[in-house]
Amino acid sequence: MIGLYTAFARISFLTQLEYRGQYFMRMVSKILGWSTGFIMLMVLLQKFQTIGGWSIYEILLLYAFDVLSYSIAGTFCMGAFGKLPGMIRQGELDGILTKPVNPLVYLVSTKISAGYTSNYIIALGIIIFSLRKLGIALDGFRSVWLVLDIIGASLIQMAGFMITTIPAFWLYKSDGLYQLFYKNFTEFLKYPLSIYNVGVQTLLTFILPYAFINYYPVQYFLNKEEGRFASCFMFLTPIVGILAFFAAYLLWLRGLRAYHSTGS
Amino acid sequence: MSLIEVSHVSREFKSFQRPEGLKNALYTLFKREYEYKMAVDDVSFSIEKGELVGYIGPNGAGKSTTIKMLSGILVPSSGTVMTGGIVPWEQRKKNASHIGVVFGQRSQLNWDLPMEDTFELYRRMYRIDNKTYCRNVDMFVELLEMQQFLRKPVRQLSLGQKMRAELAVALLHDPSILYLDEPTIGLDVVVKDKIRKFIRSLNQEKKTTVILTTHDMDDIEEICNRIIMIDHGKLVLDQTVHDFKIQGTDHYYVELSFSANQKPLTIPGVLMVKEQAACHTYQVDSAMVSFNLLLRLLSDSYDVTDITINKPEIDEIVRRLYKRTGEREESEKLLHIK
Repeated sequence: MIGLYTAFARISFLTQLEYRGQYFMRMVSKILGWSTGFIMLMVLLQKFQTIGGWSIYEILLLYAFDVLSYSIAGTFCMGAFGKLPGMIRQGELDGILTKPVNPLVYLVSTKISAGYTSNYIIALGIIIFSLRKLGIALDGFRSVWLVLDIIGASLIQMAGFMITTIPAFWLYKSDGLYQLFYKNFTEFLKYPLSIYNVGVQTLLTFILPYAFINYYPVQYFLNKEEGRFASCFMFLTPIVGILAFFAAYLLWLRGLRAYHSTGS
Repeated sequence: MSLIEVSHVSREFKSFQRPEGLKNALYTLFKREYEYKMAVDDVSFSIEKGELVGYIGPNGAGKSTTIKMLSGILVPSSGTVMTGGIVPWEQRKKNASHIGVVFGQRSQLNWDLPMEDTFELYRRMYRIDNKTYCRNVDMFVELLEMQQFLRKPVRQLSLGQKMRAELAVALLHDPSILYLDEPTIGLDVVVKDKIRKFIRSLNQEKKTTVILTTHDMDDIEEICNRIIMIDHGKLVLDQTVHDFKIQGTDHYYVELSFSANQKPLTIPGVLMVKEQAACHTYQVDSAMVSFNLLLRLLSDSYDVTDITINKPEIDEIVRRLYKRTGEREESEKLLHIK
């Protein structure tokens, strides 16, 4: 069965490469988008040297964790969940629900995005570059843990994508939710959580656990121990990722039951 | 137990009334009044294996909604559906492996793939064994005349080619039930004919049960042996196509060609419906005028060169039925106002 979904994903991927112009334009726009954020950061750091006690390369590491996990999540979710509200309004899920496949895996694999490949390279580059500048060696254990953290962080990002778009099953439009609870709140991730007040810290740790995407896991690599909650939080990212994704999946199942389709 | 059992199924849709004017629109941000509409209202029927059922009704009657509940896409508000011994929306995967679905207005094909590759994907998705796969592909390609467009990407196919492709793909795994939602919409006569013949021969060869919704009564005439009609969500009729057509036999049509122009017949029970220079068409009430009498009258007053007798077609019976339910609703509305 995995082979089948891989085949779907491959076709979707290759099809996007076929439309070359579109592919390169998207790539350029993504690179520009992320680099403006990056340049803003650099300008700020030039001015202040440190933010909340975090040095320039430490902040870059935060930034790269966010970009990399967002790009992985975007590869799987942007096509499927970015378009979900529209698909629900148009009744396009009908075809998926009459096939002997897992609707979620099918939707994701047939709508996989090819546009994030440039982000992987840039984010990975920044991670390696910053670690080297900080004099942190990636030994065997650390590199395995890095991979687990990135997987966990990506699952949290996916859950964010899903939980803010799945309500379209009931509301038909959920762009506002997506914008506010995903896009806007993940903006906080650019800087260390400790610079915000208690409210924001609690919110991003316990309610919308976005702080587990970068703030907590990065501390392990930097030998930092800060934050107002338990220090073991730096090891929880994979678990939080699995739990968040599971919650998103349950919501998805409820959404499918409420699916209305449209008359034809 | 029948292959398809539908009992007391209803499906309700909620919609909110969009008011006129900005002030009222702002008001709806805070308080909304919803309108509940029964798209399908307490419908029951059962269908045996191998039946060819036409599911008809005016636009918005609830046909598509029913098909979507049968195929497991929608969950009904109340009532139960069993197809092939399972509840379709609870075991979607299992259900999917024994049904085939074609929505005339919504393509399921990958736009960028040629049909050959799509077949291959479906073989893997439905885990079709090689023997069945090869046999079915050969059969469909031949019967639906698909050779010329097997290698073209779907986006380059014509509507008729696409519809044939949809059919082939939906049937590749030998489903026991085939749901067709307006399969001939927008197609030309030749393609329509191909598709109808194909469905009939499929039913004969594989005993596939077919349920189709349509507005084209020729589909019913040429494919189906049973008609179920629904209107405003309610079941209004469920009978064989043969019985259905008998309903219309209280009158028939006589088309008459003649050489010399003559005065038309004016007797009760015979009504002129079309008048042309050398051709008159009458609608004859068979209870009021015997056939013998009619022939005598015609030969007396016309110099007949040709005569054709037509029974009313399904189309006409359906039109009368739709109109009747429409009028009933009108009168109900009037009563309501009083």
